[in-house]
Amino acid sequence: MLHSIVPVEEIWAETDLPAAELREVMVHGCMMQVEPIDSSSGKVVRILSTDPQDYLKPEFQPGSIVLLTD
Amino acid sequence: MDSSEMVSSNYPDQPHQEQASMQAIRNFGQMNLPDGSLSFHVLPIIGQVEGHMVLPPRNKTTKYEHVIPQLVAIEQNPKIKGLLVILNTVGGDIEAGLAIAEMIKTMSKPTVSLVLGGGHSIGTPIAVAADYSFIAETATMTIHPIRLTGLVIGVPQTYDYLDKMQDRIIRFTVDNSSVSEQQLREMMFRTGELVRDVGTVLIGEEAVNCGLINEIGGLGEAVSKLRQFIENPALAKSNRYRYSPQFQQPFQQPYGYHGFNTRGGY
Repeated sequence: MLHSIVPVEEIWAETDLPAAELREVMVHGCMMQVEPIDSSSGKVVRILSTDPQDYLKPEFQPGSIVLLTD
Repeated sequence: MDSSEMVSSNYPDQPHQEQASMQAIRNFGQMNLPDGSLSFHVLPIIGQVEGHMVLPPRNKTTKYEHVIPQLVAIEQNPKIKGLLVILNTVGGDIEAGLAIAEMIKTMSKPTVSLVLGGGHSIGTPIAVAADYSFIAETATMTIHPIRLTGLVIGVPQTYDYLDKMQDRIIRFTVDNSSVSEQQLREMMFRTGELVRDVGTVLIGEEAVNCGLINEIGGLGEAVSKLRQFIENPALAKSNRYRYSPQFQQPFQQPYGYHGFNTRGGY
């Protein structure tokens, strides 16, 4: 349920766009969901770690590019 | 470096700090940027607060599944002494917004919020959740009721549910600021302010005058208030409204409230 000044129709516009394919990878001991760019790198979508400090690391912030080491 | 040194090292007037940065300029030809891990952290609440549903990509969103563990990390990390919450949000998911607000409110470390641009709808409880809140002179906050656009409300239970959701937001806002419940409801259901809608737009000073926000201010004021709280945590605690007698009173529908309540009051 939304409480926003933006009209609901506007928020939900373009819902039929295809969702990006996501991969779950381990980077430096931290499990994360990435949107693959090529075979060796990806863009961080979200962190799945249970260590709260992982969420403060600047290199793991959503949108940043990580090298997939696996 | 011990923790007491970490707090003070963010002050530019520290003589040894100045010496170190001069050394860096001489040795590497570059300035030492202030280390963000020292002293306090910044949490921006930007765009739509995203809840259980992933919003279409055109929306700029604040994702709670990322913000909540960050708040846990800030609370747990002994190097971090305080939190600055910067809001420029159009509102969003009620559950996610209230979850973030509750996390900020129950943090043991000093928290200061700053509303820049807009702190609308569900942004209001997040703004008041901090120990002390600032609003920029030109920033706005829209106070309006929850509504379900595009859904047909056919059963009394739907009204009841909306009413309960509304009460959660009102209760949290009233408990954590000095606005009265009656005034907040009056602003929420006011007609004539918004085009084709009920509600109120508060601009800068108006949010302070009604008791929602503590003070008019910008970045400088917010940071110096947070530093003041970090040096003297008792000051921060004295600003928490949950210790006020208002919190102890039972929740009541004010006189003249004509909301969706179908239960005949509490």
